[in-house]
Amino acid sequence: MKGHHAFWLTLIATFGLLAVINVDIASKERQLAEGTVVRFALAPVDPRSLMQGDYMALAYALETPILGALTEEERAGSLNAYVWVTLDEHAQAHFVAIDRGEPKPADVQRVQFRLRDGQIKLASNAWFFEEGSAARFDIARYGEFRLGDDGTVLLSALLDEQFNVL
Amino acid sequence: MQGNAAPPDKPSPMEPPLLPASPSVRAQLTHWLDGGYLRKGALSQLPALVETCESRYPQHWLKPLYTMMLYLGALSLGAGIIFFFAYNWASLHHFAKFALVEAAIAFAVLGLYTVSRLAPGRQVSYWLTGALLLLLDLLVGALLALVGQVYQTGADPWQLFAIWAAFTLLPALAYRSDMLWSAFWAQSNLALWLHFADLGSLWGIVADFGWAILIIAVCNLGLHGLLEVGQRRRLRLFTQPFANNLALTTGVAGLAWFGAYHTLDSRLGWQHGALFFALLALVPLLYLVYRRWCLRVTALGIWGFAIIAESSMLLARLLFEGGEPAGSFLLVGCYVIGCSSGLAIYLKGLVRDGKLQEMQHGE
Repeated sequence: MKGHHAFWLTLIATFGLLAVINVDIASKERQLAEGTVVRFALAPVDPRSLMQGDYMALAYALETPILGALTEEERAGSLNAYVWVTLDEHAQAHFVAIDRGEPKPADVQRVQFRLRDGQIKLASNAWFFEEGSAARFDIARYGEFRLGDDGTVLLSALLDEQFNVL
Repeated sequence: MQGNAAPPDKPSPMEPPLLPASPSVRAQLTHWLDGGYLRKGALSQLPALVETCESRYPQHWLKPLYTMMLYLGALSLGAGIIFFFAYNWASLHHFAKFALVEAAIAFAVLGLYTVSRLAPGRQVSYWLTGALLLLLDLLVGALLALVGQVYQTGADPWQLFAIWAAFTLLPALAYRSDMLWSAFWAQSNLALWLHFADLGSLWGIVADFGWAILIIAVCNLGLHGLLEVGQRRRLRLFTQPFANNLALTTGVAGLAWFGAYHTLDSRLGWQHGALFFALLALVPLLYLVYRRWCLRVTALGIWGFAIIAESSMLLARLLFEGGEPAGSFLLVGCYVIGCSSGLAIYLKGLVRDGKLQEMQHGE
């Protein structure tokens, strides 16, 4: 391939990928700004250290009923699936059932989850923060997510017991 | 391995070199003397010959140094950008991080454009293109990782490497860059491995650790087959010797691991006999493909030593099953030393014959 053809192909590939990435960034920013607020109660957390600073490994109370509702065979493998949850007056999510293709009941939200190595993942299972500010997040009781139309969730904040953003 | 693999001459049907030939006259003459290509009488003429050649190319040693520094510079620049936003993670808004990496990507593409406007065929443009492609690929990977890190979607890591590999393949094909083909090899292998580690299956094929290794090995041998056939049919697009050897080595190593695991970890039975006949059948097949059809000394070496390793394990398993251990150790040891030495002598002979033919045909 001649030099200028190779360049134009590389240019199209690079800017094509950049366009896809930027559209994805814009859609995630929109989801973070406008998505339905869903709050998951946290199970006990585990502070660790990483290159960017510190992060907190998160576990959610909702994981237990989800795991309980899966069959033995499902728990043994990997899974990308959806769970139905209802939201109370504080937007806290409560387990209803695993979405198995039946018509969605009214007033429930459909939330994506992944099962990997026997662990349930609701979007991120980590919260990154500036090094040295671990104490601020010790009192975290809820993870606040923004729910997209497709059921994906993005972690936007950690909240204390009174639902104040930390 | 050249960054921008577009040598001006046509691809050779002989095994292409993995590294560019040393421009040093002394190194070349030493190589010829070691290989026995020069008569002893020729030694007396060497000092004059070296002086004549080196006076024509006085700074031959600078070329590899320039290339190395250029590539190191590209790598350092890419790493510098990544470390900059990693170190200032908390101080920079995530849009600033995206803007930083995307601007650097745009500058790398602009650099490629500038180099493409240089006079074609100039070696400096090959080096610069290679360094810029390396920088571009590194930054694209960094941007993908950055998006995943900022939004924490929980997506599986294999997806990042699969997208990165898919992107890398395009400039690798466009510029026929052996270095980018090698990057594609690394990224796609990592994507496959992480896919099996995360999901335990691929396209519905459920695989445990051993079968995952086998599937990855088969994929690598597929890539080797593509690059090998392309090279033999003189398709410049697929003449990528370094990536070809990486794929072959990974494929053969994976097969050898799978064979060794099942040789040592299963009850002695029909599968050991099947493996023995498979190894027997491989020898003439490899001879036909890598010796008769087209000489590939590296491939013969990789396959040959893998077969020796595999057959040694098979022999050890048979001998240790009920025999006397000390004698068995001695026998297996003698078998390994004998076969490896024989193969090494055979391969050295092939290299020498190949070089002689090259010299005789003036290639």
